[in-house]
Amino acid sequence: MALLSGTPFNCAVVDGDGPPGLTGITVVTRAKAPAVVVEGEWPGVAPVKAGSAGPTGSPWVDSNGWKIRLAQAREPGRAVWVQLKTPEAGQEVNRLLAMADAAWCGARWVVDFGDDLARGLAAGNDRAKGQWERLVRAAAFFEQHCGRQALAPAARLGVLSSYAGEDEFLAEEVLNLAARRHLAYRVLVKGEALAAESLAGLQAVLYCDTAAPAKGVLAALEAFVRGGGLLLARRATVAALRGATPTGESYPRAVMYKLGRGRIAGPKHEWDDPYLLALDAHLMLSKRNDLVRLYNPGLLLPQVTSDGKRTVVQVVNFAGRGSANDVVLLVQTKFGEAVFVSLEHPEPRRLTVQREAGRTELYLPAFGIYGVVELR
Amino acid sequence: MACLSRRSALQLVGGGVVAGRAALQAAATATVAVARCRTYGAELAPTMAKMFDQLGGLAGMVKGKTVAIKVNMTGGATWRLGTKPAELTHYTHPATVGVLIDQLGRAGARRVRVLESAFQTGEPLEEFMYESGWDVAALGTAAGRVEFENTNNLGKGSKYVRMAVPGGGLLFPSYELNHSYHDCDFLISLAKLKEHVTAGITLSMKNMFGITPCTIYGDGSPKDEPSEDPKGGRGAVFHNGERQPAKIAAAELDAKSPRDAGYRVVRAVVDLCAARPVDLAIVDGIETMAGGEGPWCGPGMRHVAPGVLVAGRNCVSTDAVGAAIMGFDPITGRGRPPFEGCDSTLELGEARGLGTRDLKKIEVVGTSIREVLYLFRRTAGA
Repeated sequence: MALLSGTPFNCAVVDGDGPPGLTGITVVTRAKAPAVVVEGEWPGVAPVKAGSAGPTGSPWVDSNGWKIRLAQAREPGRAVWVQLKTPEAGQEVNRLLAMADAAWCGARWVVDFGDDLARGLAAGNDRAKGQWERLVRAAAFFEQHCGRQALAPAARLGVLSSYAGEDEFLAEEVLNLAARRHLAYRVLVKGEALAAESLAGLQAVLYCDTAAPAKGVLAALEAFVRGGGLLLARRATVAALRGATPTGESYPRAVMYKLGRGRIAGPKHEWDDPYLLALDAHLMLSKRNDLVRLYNPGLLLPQVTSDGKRTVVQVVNFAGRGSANDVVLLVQTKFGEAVFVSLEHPEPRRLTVQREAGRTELYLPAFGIYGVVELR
Repeated sequence: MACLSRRSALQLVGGGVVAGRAALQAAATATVAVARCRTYGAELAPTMAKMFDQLGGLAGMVKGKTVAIKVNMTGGATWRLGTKPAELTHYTHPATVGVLIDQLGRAGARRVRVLESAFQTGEPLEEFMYESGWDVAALGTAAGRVEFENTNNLGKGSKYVRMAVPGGGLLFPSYELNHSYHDCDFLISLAKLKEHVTAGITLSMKNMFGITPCTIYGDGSPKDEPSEDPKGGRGAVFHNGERQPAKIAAAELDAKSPRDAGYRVVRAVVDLCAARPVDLAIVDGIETMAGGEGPWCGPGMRHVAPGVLVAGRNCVSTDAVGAAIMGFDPITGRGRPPFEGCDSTLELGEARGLGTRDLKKIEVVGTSIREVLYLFRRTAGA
């Protein structure tokens, strides 16, 4: 426990009473953690199983971002901790990536020493000490760069669901797959009502659930559509929105309706494929509305947060090592200057803004696991 | 000879000059326009207009017609060579697309369709273009009626169209294609001036390889009926012949033919150029890349700026001139640059009667090959 002294770590999660004599460290049991605890997968590229591939044939990236964002939406204001399952056999255990995958969403990873690191540290092994020192530096870095910058996620798509019961799988997978598409989303948890401000700034809402929502939510959705928004919803909800008239537009998997100044996309066939649902939401919203885009993305995933004055683009590299290619970030937001820091190079670097042919792009310096661009 | 030195290349392309313009015109079976064009800026539109005039004028070709433009957007929408936007290396540049659409509209084209089989996706072509960073709205308003279609699946059509190869084909007797290649009166192959790791060069002929839908010819297409969600590239069917296309399509002519990509891909290209002839071939060599057809081709790929446009009514002859501009002898065949590992699309195309690759029989108008020669492979003698 002496290892924790002088580090950003201020809480130990233990299974029993914990060791005596700790000062400056809060000791809690798992059951009494002062946070919502999310059980996640080890982030990174999933081990390839024979004969399996993602829907696009691309490597399958495991990230806990959507689980964290869902937990935050369910219990606003509460801290979220991520506890990772035991890695699968053969899976690479990259603890810095685990920390980054929690931190970029404003959560904290409950550091898991594992048998190897715990034994190494107990034995005073130099390699283990080196690993621990890197984790300590990373924790300090993320406290500085993610804690302060945990602004509201910027998005043009809201994903609304109870995220429970029969609707849980589809809605959660949509979040998961939207992130993989680099499609920014806002998690909207269904209740009895839906505040108008929760839809502010959105251009589209995907309501995943089978049943029509409660009257208060339906009224908010109707107002959103009448004001010019796009709603993707199932048949029961479309039927409940009176006044919607078919437009006759051709779309492979949707029947389009007009209501006020907005549009509704109802299903031609019942939704059962979250991949296609995330794809359709992205296409109907149109990629021209993407907040940011990465060129030569490899296994990078971006996340955009903003408070209206300041926009932060965080990028996690799930390959866990530097990209072989130059990475370019296309930005739709107007800004004056762009500053970049990464886990490996925490000193801020001002980026040269490339403005050509109507595009605003930033060439990102090489980084291994985590980089963040602040647009001021 | 690893490839042509500058001196050799000049000797090769100088033949036409020595023969004299009158003699060449008498012998010519094709006309190809070549123009110096350094940028995609203001000089582009007048340069292209002049080239089309040199070929007889666009109005005579397209007035009242539905015109399809097959562009080259090979590879993923977000893949780049270094930081360069794809249109400066391996994609047709949207400026050439926009100028062409505008001039087709002015020439009286009834409708213009921009076509490409977008890599590993069946999403609308406009979305693929947005993802690449293109201004689709500008293209869509460049003429009166402009449409876009991703031909990697059915697109906006209700069924695929079987297009037979006259004379029976070299690899397949016919190809199942998106309706847009059939429902057009005039087809333009708007290609890029590039080398190709499998086919040696990729110009207006090889650009046609991309008209095949991966829902049928893709690595992940079902065995029987095509899926509307294209998966994978065309490696298994066309490159190495590991599998046949979905059963909706005709099977390969000879299942015992070589499973060698250098044999197969070029034959498919020639088949496709015969099944759906190119009415106008345009090759964008203003800025492009050398070493291969895309950033995935490994080390040694580099951005280059030959500053040239090539256009002609015959795809074999246009590509022959393009190859000569790149410093390659269009008469050469397998085993010689750039066809070290493959047969020549130019040779096969000529043998199939699609056009001549013999520079002595091609009238080059505008700028001479000599003036725009740009060696894609530098040699000691260059």
